[in-house]
Amino acid sequence: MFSMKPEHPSDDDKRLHELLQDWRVEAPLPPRFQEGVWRKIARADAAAPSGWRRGWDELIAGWTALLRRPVGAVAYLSALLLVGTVLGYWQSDRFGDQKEMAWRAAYVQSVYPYSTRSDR
Amino acid sequence: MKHPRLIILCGLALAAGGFGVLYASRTAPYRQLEMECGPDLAWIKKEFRLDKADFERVRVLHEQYKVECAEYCRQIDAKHRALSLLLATSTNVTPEIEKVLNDAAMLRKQCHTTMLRHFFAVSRAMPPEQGRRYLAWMQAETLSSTHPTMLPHTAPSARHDANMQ
Repeated sequence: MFSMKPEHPSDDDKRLHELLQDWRVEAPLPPRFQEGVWRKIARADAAAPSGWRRGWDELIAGWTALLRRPVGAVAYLSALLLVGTVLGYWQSDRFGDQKEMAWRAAYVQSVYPYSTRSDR
Repeated sequence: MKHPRLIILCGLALAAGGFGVLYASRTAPYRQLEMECGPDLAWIKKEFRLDKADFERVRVLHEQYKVECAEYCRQIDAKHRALSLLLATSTNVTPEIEKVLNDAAMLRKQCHTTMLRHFFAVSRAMPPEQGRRYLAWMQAETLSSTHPTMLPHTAPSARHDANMQ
């Protein structure tokens, strides 16, 4: 009966080693076997991802690993919230400036018919 | 924390939400002011920090002046059209052309006088400090020359001489 855990593992290793040493492959190699092997290696090399792709994959993997950690996820969420609010602040400032400029031009044009500049 | 895609989406939603809330809250006063006063008077109210009573006086003056101003504009346009017709059939400055030019100049003078009168009236309708600021600003915007001298192509020294005279 074959047992998963031999009583003397070193004996088994020794026997296996001897068996492998004695094993000889006598079947002939198929024709152009070596050429086929090299062709497969070349194909595998060509199919391997390029440098930037590998870098991208590593980056994604790094990000994913970071997001799996609570501290990374909190940092990411905080950063995006900060980016959103800073952009909102900046855009609302621009909105205000543009509105005031347009209102000023509208007022000048409404009281001064000779006004030609709309961007005062 | 086992769903990175969900966290990415939450981050994007947070960014969009932060942007939207801040943008909407900071631009709401502008939109409200424009809706209440219209684009031409919104600037007056904000820039000169007018309270409700002051703004109402300015608004009434503005509406009255706009009617007057539009009438002058209509009359000046009519004079310009008449001048164009006369110029199309003349080869010299005829008495009719001279008369139309005089009429147009007179109308422009009246228009400017009415405008100045309006500026003074508006400045009086504001608190004194704001009224002075308004007058100075309107003077710079409407009456100050866009170039230092009426003499074209003059060197700075020649302009200085002209000013001294």
